[in-house]
Amino acid sequence: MSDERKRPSAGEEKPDQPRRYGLFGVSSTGGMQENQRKSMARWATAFVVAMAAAFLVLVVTGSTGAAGLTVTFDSQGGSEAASQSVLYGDTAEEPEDVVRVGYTLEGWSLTPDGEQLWDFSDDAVEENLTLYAVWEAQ
Amino acid sequence: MKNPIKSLQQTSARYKTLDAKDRHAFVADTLLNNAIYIILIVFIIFTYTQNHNIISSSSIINIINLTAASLPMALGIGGCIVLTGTDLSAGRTVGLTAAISATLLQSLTTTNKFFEGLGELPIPLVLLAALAVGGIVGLVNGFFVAKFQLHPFIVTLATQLIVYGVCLMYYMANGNNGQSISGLSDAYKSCITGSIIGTLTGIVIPNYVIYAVIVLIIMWFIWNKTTFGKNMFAVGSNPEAANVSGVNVFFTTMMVHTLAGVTYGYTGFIEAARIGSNTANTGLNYECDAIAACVIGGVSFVGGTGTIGGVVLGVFLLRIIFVGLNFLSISGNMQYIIKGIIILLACSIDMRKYLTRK
Repeated sequence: MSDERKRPSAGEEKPDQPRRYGLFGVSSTGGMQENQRKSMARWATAFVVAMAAAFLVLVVTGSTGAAGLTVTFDSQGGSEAASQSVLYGDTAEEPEDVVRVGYTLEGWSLTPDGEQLWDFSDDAVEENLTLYAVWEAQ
Repeated sequence: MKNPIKSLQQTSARYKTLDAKDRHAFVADTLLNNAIYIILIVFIIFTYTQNHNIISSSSIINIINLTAASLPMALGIGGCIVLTGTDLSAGRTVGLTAAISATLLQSLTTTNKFFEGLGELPIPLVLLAALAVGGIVGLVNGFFVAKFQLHPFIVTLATQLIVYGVCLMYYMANGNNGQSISGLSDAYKSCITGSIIGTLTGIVIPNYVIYAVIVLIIMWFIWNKTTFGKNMFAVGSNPEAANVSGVNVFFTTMMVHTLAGVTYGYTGFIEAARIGSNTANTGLNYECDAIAACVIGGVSFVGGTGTIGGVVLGVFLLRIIFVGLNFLSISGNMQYIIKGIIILLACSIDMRKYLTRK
């Protein structure tokens, strides 16, 4: 009988396993048995390793960074210009020898209407682009 | 901040006293607890081998700018996470306060001006308005969380929807018909995105980076040097114990959420000028990045732990990874998966630390 009296009742805390309370009720790990805790810690360890590995594998396999982005040129009636492969953050090179009879080349633009001119010395390529030639009649 | 050299000396002294088996466990523990920093270093080196542009001055300044833009919000949400909660209304609140800031500070000559005939308002007044609107949203969140002990997840989900609805109606008001709001006044733009440092030193770092540092200092002071900050951690780790020791749990919970709301208001004020052309989608999903940054920075969902320095580091690391993914030209779809994995990784490390705590 004396043994039973010593046994803590269900709601009582054991001194060596402090219960943790979150603000919104007992957190999921509160009042956990030692072996449960160890098993969960092992799972967490496995997960840390698995997620770190998954991250690195996805980054390495998904990377197309070295291949670069493609900048294509639409000469809009002028002579053809070859597309370029540019690393993210680099600048593209202005294509040479693009001509059109009766016109002079004003520059290259992000839009066919020539509204947003592209600055080859300063604008960094951050996505696949098509640049359109802007022509001025002579 | 602990002295890093001294703490390293202590660690090495402790390491020498361990036997072979414990040493093995110690090394494994250190590697696992710092897994995110280790993979980050590997990530940066890999990115550099693929595209050297990531270590260029423009890229580093870009990372600093993006960090400064999302830092204040992460600091606000960090407080909610310390209370084992979260805040989903953050992004939409940023959207609403950005809309308010932008409409009040349009240039006088803008066609389609939202408030026609509105004169030039003083910028600090609009800042106060944005902070107040954010604060009210936070106050509502805080009230429901503290009064009815509802989980913040559901309360802030509700306010997120309400705020988004209000924001959409705001964009429809005054015959604006949901168009984007642009044509901000030059004074406002130069105040936020202009660069005082640039004119002084030639390194073009926009002003909002300076403001972010000021916010950082204020938040550091609140978290570490005020009774309110200490109460916040007490309530976060054990609200019943905090209550017994005389902490006003209701007031603390409410104020943490209000403070968080104020940081969203501030972020909205900055974002309006930073983006320049605002739509109802401004601020969409900002809370996800902020929450992820907090978890990466060691603000535990178990509650009661977290440091300002950790949040700063978390925001910074997350930004480096996001920018790095662009430099690797990884497809947008894959980027989402990788971001999700980083968050799971951070949570696993957090849980592992908690479970193996002696």
